[in-house]
Amino acid sequence: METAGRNVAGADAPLDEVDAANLAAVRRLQDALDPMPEDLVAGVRFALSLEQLDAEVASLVEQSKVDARAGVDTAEQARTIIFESSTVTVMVTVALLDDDRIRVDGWLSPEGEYRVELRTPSDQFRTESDVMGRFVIESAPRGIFRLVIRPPRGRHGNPPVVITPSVVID
Amino acid sequence: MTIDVPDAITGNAKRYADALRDAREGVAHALDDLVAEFSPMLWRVARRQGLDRVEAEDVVQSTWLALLRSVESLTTPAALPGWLVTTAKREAWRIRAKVRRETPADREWDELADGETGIDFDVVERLGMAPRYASLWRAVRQLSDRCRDLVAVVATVERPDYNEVARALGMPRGSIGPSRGRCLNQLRELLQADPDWNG
Repeated sequence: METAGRNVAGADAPLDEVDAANLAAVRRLQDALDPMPEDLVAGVRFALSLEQLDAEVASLVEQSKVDARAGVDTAEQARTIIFESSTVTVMVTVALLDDDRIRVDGWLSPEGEYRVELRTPSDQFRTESDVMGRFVIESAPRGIFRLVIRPPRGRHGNPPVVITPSVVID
Repeated sequence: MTIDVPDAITGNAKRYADALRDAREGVAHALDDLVAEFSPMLWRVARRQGLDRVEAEDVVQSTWLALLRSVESLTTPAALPGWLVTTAKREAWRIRAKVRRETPADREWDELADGETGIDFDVVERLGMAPRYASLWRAVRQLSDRCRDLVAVVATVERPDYNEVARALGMPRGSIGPSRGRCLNQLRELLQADPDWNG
């Protein structure tokens, strides 16, 4: 048994069950005092999956918030947001369906049949726009989402995938 | 009994190699398991560098994004934990140099860490910790800064990863795996000498 901090044999000994138990205790202590945020792992995975797309990030052009369907039991808000990239402009209107769900209506320009994905840290919802560039995601969880937009194949090869910044509906 | 440490080629390094190869080939979710495994370690590295919780989140995220961008050049899979620790430290320094904060990063942890405050009965009760964690905290506080960094970070990884992480953090390697090293030995002796810990 080691008795002094300078004990070289103790420091040179391999890690054993006592060390493992001590480290596990330190881990529990740290987790109690300063826990890593619960959603950090999901957030990182989300960011990685989007980074892998190698997409152009559209920039936010305009954002407005309007009361919609006021007069019902709960006044609900719809929010209209416009994003722009070098190749495409997308306007989305987000409406609250209830406390947990949203509906997203979108319009893409130039018009055409795009593949559209709404991604949240836990889910993804796919749809396609019609020839006029309109699309709808009927129901998605409230919270954070990003749109991934894949344009139709062009005459000069594939136009870049476009991704919007995060939209937070709180 | 000693901890069984898998051989470098067949153990964790193989897992890292597979995940990195998948990521290189653009396989979706290739890094998901590693993210779950090592984010707590990166979180602790950032927090030990004195960043607040929001900054620490940024460091964890940007470290993983940096890995994805560097995945072509990372040719030694066994070195992954070390690469992650080094990158997170660098990211933390970068943020710390940019932001000069006036308030400490995490009052609870930092005030306790300053040694002014011990873990008193209130903290133990509020956080639902066993009373002997006050002894553990006393022991951890007696370690040098360097040893506290090492113990805090090594404690976040699962046992099979001690080997790589310990090496990445400069713990000596013995003939059959990582040695306990000066820091863990010191912690062990401080705890052994504390009747409240053993009682």
